[in-house]
Amino acid sequence: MRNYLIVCEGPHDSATIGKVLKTLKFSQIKTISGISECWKKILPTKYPFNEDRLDRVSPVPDFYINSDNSISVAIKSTEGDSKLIEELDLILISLERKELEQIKGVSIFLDADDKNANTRIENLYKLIDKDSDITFKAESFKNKVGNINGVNMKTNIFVFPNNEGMGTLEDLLIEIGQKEYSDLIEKAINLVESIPKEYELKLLKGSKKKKSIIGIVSNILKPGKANQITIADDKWITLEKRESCESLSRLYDNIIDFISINGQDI
Amino acid sequence: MIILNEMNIESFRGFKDIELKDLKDINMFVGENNTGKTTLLEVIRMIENPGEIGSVIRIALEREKSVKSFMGGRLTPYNAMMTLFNKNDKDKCISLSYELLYKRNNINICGKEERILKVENKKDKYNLSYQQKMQDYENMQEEISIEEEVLCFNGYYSYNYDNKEEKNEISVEEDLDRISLGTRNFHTVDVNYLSNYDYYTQNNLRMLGNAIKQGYKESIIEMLQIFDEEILGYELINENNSAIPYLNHSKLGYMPLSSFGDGVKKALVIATRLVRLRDGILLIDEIETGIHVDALKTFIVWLTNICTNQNVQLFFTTHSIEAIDAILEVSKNNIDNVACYRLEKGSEKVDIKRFSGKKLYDIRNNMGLDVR
Repeated sequence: MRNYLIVCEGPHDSATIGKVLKTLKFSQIKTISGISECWKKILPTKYPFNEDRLDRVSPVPDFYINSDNSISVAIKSTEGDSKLIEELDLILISLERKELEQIKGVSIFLDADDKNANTRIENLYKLIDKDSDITFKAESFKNKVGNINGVNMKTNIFVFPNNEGMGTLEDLLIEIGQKEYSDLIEKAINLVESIPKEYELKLLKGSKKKKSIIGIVSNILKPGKANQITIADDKWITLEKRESCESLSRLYDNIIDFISINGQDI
Repeated sequence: MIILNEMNIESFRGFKDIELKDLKDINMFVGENNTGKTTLLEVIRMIENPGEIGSVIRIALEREKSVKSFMGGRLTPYNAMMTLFNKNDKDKCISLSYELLYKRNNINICGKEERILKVENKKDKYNLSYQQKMQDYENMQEEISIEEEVLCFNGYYSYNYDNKEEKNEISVEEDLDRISLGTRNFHTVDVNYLSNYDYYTQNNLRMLGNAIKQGYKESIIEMLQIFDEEILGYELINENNSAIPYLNHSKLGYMPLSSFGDGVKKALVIATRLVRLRDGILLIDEIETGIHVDALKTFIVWLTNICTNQNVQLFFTTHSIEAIDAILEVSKNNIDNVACYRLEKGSEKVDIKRFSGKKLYDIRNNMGLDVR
């Protein structure tokens, strides 16, 4: 079994990556007995998860396995980019060497936001190396193969929306949505553009405008449910869209290359 | 108080090139069974009386107490000592270097195990009286001595401490039946060790008696009251010519110690040891033994407070996630005073991974993950 660890910024990212895997004939694992031994160590063993807070949002990663049980992927979503590296470090250090040796690769998925992908990656490298308490080095992520806490493995970074320009996951989803749900996307954009001024300031801050657009469409497709449900269940991400949507194509290529579906692993 | 700052184990039992870096006031050793957690405590005991082979053998024999209680037999002092060396090495060597009170020290006990021909007076061997020997000497001169092949460890014990250096030849024979502990002519710091077996030994009664004689009774009661404020005192009461420890409890009156739970017994034993330990090191094997999960936090608060007050550096092994969580919660505001070392079995040797207190706190309290 080849095991790959992915950390991302939130549940929408996790659902997107998970949906890509599902279209590549992976299925989600829902039982502890179904996951690889090395993943059992990254399951929480205590409640409250966070200090003494009564949080109900589970920090349990999503697990996927391919059809011939040769590749297993764990996707851990964190609370935004500030926690991304910190939580990856805590996961990696909590694993014993014998467990770490079972992991063939580790990947980070994050939003470009207001920088292009290269700048965002450079900033990420600086963040890793600035914190002496982080147990791995940025160098490990620069050559696609690196030493993580004494174990050599594949390393990867993908920056939403397309590993090149500025933006977020929502830019990717809007790009896809304009093909599959163009009418809904157009109406959602119009609604957001025409909201009363008293709400506008909040909405325009950062990337929230695009999140609102996806949220509106999502609530029409799956009323009352979270965005990740429509990402997982509806037709945002399909193999056909991979051909017609450049950003999605790049996401597929990156994931396929990382988990070595078509090639030999290290 | 940090007394031992760092320990490098070049060779000791199965350990090769192990480092305990940046030790703190409170140090936990975790890991699977048979990874060497107790061995780390034994290594730390080595720093107390460097140069004394008797102390080394005593450390090795400690484990035999528990083995004897359920297996019936125990290793000889010689064989116990030899377990401290790496079994696979032909040239036997215990090699440690460490930083004690910010000064670099080392200990090396190196040598070879050889078979020697031992010439022994037969009459001595059979404990005959002087007169019998002399009479026999006249009659049986040809039988005065016998030759016997025995194993012998020949080598040297060298150490340095605070610019003092010493190297002595040592020779320990297989048929050593008594350990000469020697005088504690060279003592560095007090190191007190509590195995998970020590709470049930007779030795504690003697130590309790000694503590009373030395005027520590009130201090022990104060310590016990931190653990259970209803305890008013304790007495050793003579029953059938035996001293039986009784606790005076505000609700129960005088009750024999045996009627209290293991947590109270453990607190009493630790208090008895700790009360005399100042500016020293306390080693506890399996800290959770005998203490209910709900009482662990109270016990840990009590223990860490005493260690702070007495300037004692604490090292303990544990399999208990509750004990780890209790230490983290109690030390939340001084988390930099805590370090955790996880022993991991590798394909060739045991490795040690260090967790800072903050990392461990975040792993447990922000991720909910296990570290054992």
